[in-house]
Amino acid sequence: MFNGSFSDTWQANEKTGRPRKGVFEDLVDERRQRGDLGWVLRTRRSVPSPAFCAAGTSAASAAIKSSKSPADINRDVLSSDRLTYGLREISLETGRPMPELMSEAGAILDEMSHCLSMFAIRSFGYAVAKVMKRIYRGVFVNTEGITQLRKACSEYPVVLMPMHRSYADFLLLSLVCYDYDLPLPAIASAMDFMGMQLIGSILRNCGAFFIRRSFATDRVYWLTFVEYVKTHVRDGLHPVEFFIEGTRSRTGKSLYPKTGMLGAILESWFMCEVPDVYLVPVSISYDRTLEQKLYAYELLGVPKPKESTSGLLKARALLDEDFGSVHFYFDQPISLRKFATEYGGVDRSVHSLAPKVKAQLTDAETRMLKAMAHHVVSRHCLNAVVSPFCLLAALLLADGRACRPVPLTELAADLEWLRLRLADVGSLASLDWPAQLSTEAVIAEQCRLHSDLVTLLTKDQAVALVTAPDSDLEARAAQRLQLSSYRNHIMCHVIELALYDAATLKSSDGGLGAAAVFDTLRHLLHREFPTISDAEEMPDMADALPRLRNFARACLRPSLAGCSQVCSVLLEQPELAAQSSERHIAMAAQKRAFANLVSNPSLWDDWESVSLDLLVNAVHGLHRLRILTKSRGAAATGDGGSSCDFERLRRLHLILDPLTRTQPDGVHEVPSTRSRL
Amino acid sequence: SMPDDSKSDEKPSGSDKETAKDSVFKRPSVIPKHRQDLLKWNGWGYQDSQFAVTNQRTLTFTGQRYQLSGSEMPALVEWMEKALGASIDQRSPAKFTRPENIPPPVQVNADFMSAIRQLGLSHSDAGPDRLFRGHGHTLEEMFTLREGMFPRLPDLVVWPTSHREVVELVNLANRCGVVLIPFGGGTSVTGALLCPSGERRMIVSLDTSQMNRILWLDERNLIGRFEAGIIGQDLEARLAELGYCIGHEPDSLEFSSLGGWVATRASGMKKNVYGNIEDLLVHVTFVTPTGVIEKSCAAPRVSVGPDVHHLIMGSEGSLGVVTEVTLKIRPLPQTRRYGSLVFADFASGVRCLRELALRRCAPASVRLMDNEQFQFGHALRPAASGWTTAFVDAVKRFYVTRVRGFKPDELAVATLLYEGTPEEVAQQEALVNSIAANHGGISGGEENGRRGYMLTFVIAYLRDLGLDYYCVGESFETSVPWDRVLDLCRNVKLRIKEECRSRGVTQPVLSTCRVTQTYDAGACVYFYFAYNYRGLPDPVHLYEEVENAARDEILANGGSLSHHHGVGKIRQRWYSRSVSEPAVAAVRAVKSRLDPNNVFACGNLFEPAGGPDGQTEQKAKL
Repeated sequence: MFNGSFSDTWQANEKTGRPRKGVFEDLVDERRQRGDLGWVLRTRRSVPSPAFCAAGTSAASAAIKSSKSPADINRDVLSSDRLTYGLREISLETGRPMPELMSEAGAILDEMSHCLSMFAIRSFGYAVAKVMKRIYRGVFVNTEGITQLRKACSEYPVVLMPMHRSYADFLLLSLVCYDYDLPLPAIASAMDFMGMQLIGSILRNCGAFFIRRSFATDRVYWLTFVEYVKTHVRDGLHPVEFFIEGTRSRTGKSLYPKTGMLGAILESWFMCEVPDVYLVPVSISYDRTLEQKLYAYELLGVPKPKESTSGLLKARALLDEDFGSVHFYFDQPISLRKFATEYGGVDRSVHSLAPKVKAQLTDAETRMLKAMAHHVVSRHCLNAVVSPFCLLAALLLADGRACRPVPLTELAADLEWLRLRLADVGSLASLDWPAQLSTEAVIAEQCRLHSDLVTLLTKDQAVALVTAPDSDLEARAAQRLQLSSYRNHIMCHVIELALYDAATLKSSDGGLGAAAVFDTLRHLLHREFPTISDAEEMPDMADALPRLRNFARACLRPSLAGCSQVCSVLLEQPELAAQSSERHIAMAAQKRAFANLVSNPSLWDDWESVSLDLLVNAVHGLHRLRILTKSRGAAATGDGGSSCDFERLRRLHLILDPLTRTQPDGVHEVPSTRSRL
Repeated sequence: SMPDDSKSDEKPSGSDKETAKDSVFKRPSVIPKHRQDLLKWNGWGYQDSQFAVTNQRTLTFTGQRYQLSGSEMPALVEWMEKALGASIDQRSPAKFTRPENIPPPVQVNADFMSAIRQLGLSHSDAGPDRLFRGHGHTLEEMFTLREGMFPRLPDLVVWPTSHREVVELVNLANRCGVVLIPFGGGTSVTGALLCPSGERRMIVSLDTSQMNRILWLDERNLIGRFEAGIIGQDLEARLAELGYCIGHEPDSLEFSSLGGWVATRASGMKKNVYGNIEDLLVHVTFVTPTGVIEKSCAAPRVSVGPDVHHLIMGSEGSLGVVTEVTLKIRPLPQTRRYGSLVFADFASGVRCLRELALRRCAPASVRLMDNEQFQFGHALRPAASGWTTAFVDAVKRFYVTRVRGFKPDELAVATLLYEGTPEEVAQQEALVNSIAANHGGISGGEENGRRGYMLTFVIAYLRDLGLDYYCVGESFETSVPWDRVLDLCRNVKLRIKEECRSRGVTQPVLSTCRVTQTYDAGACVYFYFAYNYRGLPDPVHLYEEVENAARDEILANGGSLSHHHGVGKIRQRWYSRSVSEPAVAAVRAVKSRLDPNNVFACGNLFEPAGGPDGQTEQKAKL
């Protein structure tokens, strides 16, 4: 980690000649200076390979090689004890003959496996580099992280765990690995791409392997998948790369982590098949996300276009846009063994009694798996570089401030305040703040970059939102969701304070006591903000500055408004819970929110209550609070049908009610507090 | 049938034979009663045998006892530098301790003293006698001898000469409130001989070494009765003169005693033919404070309740003392033949051993060394004695590395020992070689095998050399199912290195293993590790932490707490976890019933209930 903004240290890296910015260096500049052909043809030197599998100590295969062809990997998977054992079990239970099951596993493997080739990486890298130069001002990487990653790659198997904000994530990450002479990752990808002609096979050649979205009940698939992943971990030749969030976050917030893939990786350590594993969280932040607008419509429920090559070609218009910079922060590799020691309670020797092929995670191991997943997501958020626009968006959205243009000087003052306060709190260590510019100039620059969302009215010297006409409700909502996605980047830094603030607000406690309210909100929002700590006790943040508290409160309010919306719709339509799935409840709440907005567009915070993501998370929260309980039959089929504790729902609604109303003392309306700072 | 008649033709007949036999039976031990007359007081083995620097760059092994003795090993210094970062110029000699500096006895029980004088039991309270019996051979104990002194030594050494005298001694100790710690060969590597620090009673070392007779041989049934203090080399040498052997060969064979083997559940390298101690043992006599435990017959197998032999084996001196043992004996094998195999890597070697076990055709001994040990063995090679040897070596090397493509830094070597009739051995060798070929193994010749086994006895001396040059080292072992052998070996070796590194060891760490036994269901693995501690404050504590971490790793990988060294004091923390709470409670119950006054208060396996000194605790309460 680094402290303070890293702005004032622009310099060239002495060794590489690359421009540096604090702990980061830029890859793109060099590509602009020199041709790409030499770059893709060059010899990669001293690519690290892990010592643990050297010198004939590996159990994996008879001949130990420093590289292994994709066909070798598949052969090892199919001949592995674990797969054979698992298939035999299935065969005994179902009566299906072994050859049939083996060929099924073979077919699954053909569908799944990557076909990593350096030739493909180099050719595709050429194209990606061209695009990268065109749309990004810079691609910044923390070099210390690369050094640590390189060392990790020379010791134990490495798992790259990037944030997922864009399709560009894994393309750029592979490019970074290529550029720094690191082993190229095998990337777990969703099946969405596989259907795309050409692109599907290009990605396969670049190391992508494809996983179906849901296969919990398909045992053959599960077995093959786990063994495929574990084979990579055991061999240690290619880092496995996967997205713990499962899919791209459309909201700018972290998604609730998925544990299936991580479970397969951890299993290889729990079963002692590897001495240790390094997990490397990679935070990726884009000044602007390629898919920003698309995401907003998806959140509204407008169906996502199916990935197709022709669709990609249409996206060519994007090539003329400016997407600012990208920042990669490679976190310090987490040793699985050390994490387990600190976490405690995991005793691998319990697996000693059954044969190794009967691997199954214990309860303690499953708990650790979840903790690990949350830990990685927290590291993502903590390390992610934050662009000034995120602060700007948060300020504009707080307390309905941007419903009219905000004077530039006032906004600049607030931005300066927020920047310094957050840095003080220590939670925002990685603000990408250009030091040479005045705050006003920074705002102007951000308005230029995000001209589709905000505009600087030069005549009035004020900042205004770009808004669609009132009549186009959907477009307005989409704009709002885009803006809020930037605010969401900093939510992880203020969420704890916001929860503390909500819990200690006199009007909200309803006789429950602050700790109980805190606990309720924590559970209600556990999916919305997966970084909320699982600590038992409410933190004491009484000495937080009132103005910062107000700001945090305003940031959280839209989420609580969404929860309140769900409560209202369930109270108004009592039959909804029993009949509908989570998504249906969310859609009903969305309908209600839209109706409210039609009648009263000035309901500022309700503009985000139309996000299905937020509403589904709220329904999950109600489940977590056991206000909604899946009925027996429904739990099996997975669709709809929950029983609802209306009494507790009503109480929750009462708690939420004061929290969702804008307080009179908004962030910008109390100049007197400034003197106290 | 017995070869009894044919033998009588060759041997002196009648009473002459009996007399000769008798003299063999009662011959004094190679190791003198006062061990300090022959053995090192602060290192391993004989005083005359040690690694020594002849000039700046060459090491030699002194004395005439071993095959290696007298030869120079030019590559050893270089190996020490490479593998451990040790320098021949950086010496860390042992501190000199005078006999008068050995702390005097702290507790003398007057009743006990007068009683043993009355009984005429041989005893001594001389410093060197007590010091030799106050420790075993763990690194910590050796380091203590070199750098300081033990906090407590036995207050007296007693040498009973028969089962009857032991019974009297145990009764006496029980009556007088004296602690007895049985002592056999002193080769324990579990801290089992250390005096418990909290013990406030008089501690007496019960040295069984003068009970070293062969009592009788039963050639019809191929069993023999021995006193428990007989040491391995005496036992085998005497039996060999009579045409027999036991075939139990732990690495400590030269010094360890029969009673010690029984008390620790020992294992010998030739167990594939002869079995481990539990397979060899037919009958045992065990003296406890509440009486003598023994079975009423010497039948080959019985079903008479839980086998009490299995309470005695592994009791590690905490329940009583072994006085006499009936073991199986075997006619000496007609042929003994060494062999070796070279594999491309350790994994191939393990797969070959697994197949040998699967087909139950493993020779008397088979051991697989990893690459680091192969390199070490190489470093111990004497200077080539002539151009023919050098030429043959070069040809061999060419074949292995060039023709077969084995990488010198990856290959692994197995050493083999065949025993039996010439036909049996030939047949077995052919089979083993064909199985090895299935796994890419090629024969490495007989001489390499012979050297491998010879090094077994010399390797223990090497630690003393290391200690002279800032290097501490230790070995430990485990047993593990076949499917976990490779993972365990790799993970433990790496864990050792990482733990050393994370504790500030900057020089290379030697971390190496070998598979020393094969079983139907798994294997025994032996680890060696050593590091250079120059510049580090507390090498022994660091070493302990690393060994504990390595043991945790072993257990996590499905390995056992110990294959044959035992629990002693240094592995107590895992004992309960290894056998379950009720099992510990059962052993404790046996202990409190057999030894209510905690006479055998060595504190091995577990600390006695109510602290190390149960009796004193009780008195304090009164």
